[in-house]
Amino acid sequence: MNLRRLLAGGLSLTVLTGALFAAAAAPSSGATATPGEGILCEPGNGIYTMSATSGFETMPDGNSIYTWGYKTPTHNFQNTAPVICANAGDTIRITLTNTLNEDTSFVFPGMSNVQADGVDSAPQSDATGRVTSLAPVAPANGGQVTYTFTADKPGTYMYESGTDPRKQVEMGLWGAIIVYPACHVNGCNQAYDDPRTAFEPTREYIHMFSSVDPDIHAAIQLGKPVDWSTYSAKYYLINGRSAPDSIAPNNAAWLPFAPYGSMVRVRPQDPNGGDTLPALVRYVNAMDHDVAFHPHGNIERVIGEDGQPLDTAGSPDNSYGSFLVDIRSNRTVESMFTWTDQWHYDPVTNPIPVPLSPYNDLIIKGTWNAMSPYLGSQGALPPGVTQFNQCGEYYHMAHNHALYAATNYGATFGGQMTLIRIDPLGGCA
Amino acid sequence: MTDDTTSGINPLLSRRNFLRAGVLGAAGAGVVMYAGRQAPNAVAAPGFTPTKSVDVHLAATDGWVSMPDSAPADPPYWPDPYAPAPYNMYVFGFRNVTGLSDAQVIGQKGRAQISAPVLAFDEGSEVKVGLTNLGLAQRPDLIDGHTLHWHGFNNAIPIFDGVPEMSAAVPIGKTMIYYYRPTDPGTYMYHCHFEDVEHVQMGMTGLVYIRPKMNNGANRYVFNDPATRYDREFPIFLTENMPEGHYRDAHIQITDWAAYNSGFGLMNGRAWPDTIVTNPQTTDSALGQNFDPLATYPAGSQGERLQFQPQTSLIHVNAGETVLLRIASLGSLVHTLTLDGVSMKVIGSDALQLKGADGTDNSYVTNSIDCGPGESRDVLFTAPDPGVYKLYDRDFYNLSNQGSGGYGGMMTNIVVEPPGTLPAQPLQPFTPGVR
Repeated sequence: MNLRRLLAGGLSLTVLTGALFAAAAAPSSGATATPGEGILCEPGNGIYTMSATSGFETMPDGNSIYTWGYKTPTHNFQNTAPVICANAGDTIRITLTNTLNEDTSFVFPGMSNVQADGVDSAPQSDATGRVTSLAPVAPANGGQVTYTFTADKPGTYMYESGTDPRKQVEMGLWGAIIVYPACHVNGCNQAYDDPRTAFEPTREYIHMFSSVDPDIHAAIQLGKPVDWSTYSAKYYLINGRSAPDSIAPNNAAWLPFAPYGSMVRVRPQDPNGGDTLPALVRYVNAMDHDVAFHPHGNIERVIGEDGQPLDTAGSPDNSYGSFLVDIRSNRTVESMFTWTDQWHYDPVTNPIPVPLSPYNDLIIKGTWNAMSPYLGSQGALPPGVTQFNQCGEYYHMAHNHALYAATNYGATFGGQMTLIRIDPLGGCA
Repeated sequence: MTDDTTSGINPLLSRRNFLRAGVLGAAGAGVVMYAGRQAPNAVAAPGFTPTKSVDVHLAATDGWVSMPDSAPADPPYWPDPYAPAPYNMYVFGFRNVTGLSDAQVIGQKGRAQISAPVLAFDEGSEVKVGLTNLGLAQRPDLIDGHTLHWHGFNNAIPIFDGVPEMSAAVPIGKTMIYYYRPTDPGTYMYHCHFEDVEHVQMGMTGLVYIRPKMNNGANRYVFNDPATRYDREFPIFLTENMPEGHYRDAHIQITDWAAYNSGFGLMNGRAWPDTIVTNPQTTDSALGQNFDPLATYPAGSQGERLQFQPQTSLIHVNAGETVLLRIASLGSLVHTLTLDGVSMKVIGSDALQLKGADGTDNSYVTNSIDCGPGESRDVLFTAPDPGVYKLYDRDFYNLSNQGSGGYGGMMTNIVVEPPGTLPAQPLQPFTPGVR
């Protein structure tokens, strides 16, 4: 964990999310500056306190949604729970305080021997035998419970409310736990014990998927009956944000309810520099249906699912490549990818053999577009189009390919969509 | 468009010819807002001599297609009262206009097809695809651009990836040339990414695949591995179709695309029982990829009714042959295809052989092919004894038309003939201007 924080701190020197966002850098949450991209582990060194509470999240179309989440030592309110990071073998203690007017709890799928206030965490029943919760609760209106367990296996896990989870997970009461292999203490950067899962230490990302039916949220806010049979999500979120908010940096000041960005950033792998190891993306799906996540322009290699590595040391290679990563409901997937500047196209020495239409023969919507096919090179944009491209870096979209889920209330270029940024070999100056 | 003498695409529409034909007249101000300015940044391509080049010319436009008349009506959405007989649904789509004259290309406005033309290229070739936006005949008010997104192309150059927000889109009356150098054999898809949720649903989706270098005249393979040899190949391209959205686009109304609701499950752009109707130009799905967009059909014929859904899904094979199904989906649901009584071997997924970096064979045998949004599967089976077998989606919601009783949607026939009945399948199912 300490190494993790150290790396995260060092990252901040090199990671900017682009001129737009660099100018609006969020206030740092502690002594170390916050990295703009990548995973933000909740500070705590194994001991965490969070308080279930209600708040509001703002969607890119301006809708404000009543939602539930957590107050933590670093955030007044965040929808989706903090990302907890541990090394295999670490003990994790989470004290949950409940300010909501109904009971809540946590279950930790994939973890064993979870204790709640010192006893085995087990499903709860009332006097008639009816199950009331999948775990001991923090009672409504100020109750508290402390869960303790040992994170014994590397992987990506969920933790989520075990009390009326259909409602409470929809409202935001869930989060992710990342468990690094034990060798992480000694400096390895691997998803699992197998060295084939080594990743570039500054290129680790998490995409946590959820959805929002605003009518259901409004009904809960107003204390009205909820008809789950009419559930119809209108917002689809990555890390509690909907595109284009998804690409804003970690702890963006204007998104206080959702501190985690999801833009992925790599450099090409090349003998002359760039990244040497793959990037790692951890996918977590809290929705009641599957996510078909499509990273444009990249083949990802799935290396683990639900805390189970596809490869173990000495095993045959059972990982698989995919241009569309399936994350089934309430499951987790880790995948790795690399970028190669395959043909080394260059405007002078190795030009692309088709003419690029001049911009007055094109529709230029994009502000990320460098208006050049060459990595590290920029062309002129039409007058009136703001240039957010820093140095000719590439941007590719990555999105849920059930395209209704790549919308904000049906409007295109929203929802579960983020960007993959590919910097030139030498990075952006 | 720019001078395309280096691209070899011939003929493409020149701006002058477009203006002469008056197509731009309806385009509106949006597409010409930078007219009169000199663009300083056109990329020249001097002195490049490709060793092998494949040129394709696609046109993007709108049109009308036909879902099975036997399906229950869903007023007012389907059948669409605006639809000219014998059609009943409004679509956007691509049309293969390779080799047509300027006037002929312009003549394809309003003649979109679903699924888009199947494209097939060879590993290592250089592919130049011209995309011309012909505008929308039914919606002259709608000045949408179009793009070409090659779904799954690894290490793509963003300007050729077709995401308007990350690159550029083609306005009405213009042509953009997309350039690819495919190196990874397998089954991919392509679609328009302009206002993607709408344009994909409206029909701008199709299949593209890359044949491996190992292919030769006598044998063909899915990947560069002898274990992936096959005798015949068939595209099975899956989409679902939401009649409400099609109706609203035709009638100048706004659709809540988040309220997704499938009415017809489609294989290669058609719903059962149309899936097994052969096109007069073809006899089975693999042979029928290079349609003549100018062909005419007798009035009242099935050929006329389905001329904008030219791709049959009828699979016609000889017993004992190794058959390849190139299955891909650009719908929004997950499908589970079963071939009754016949085991299938999944050897590829998302244009990658199911094989570990150390050579581990990760292919698997199954009776249920799982294919979700944006995924592809390369599936081999050995043709069983002569007879008729059904390939269908066991997510039964997609096995009816408009939720009616009976059968519809994603189902087709596999007709197995005695050994030696059918001649060998031609190696090059799509050969536009190969030089």
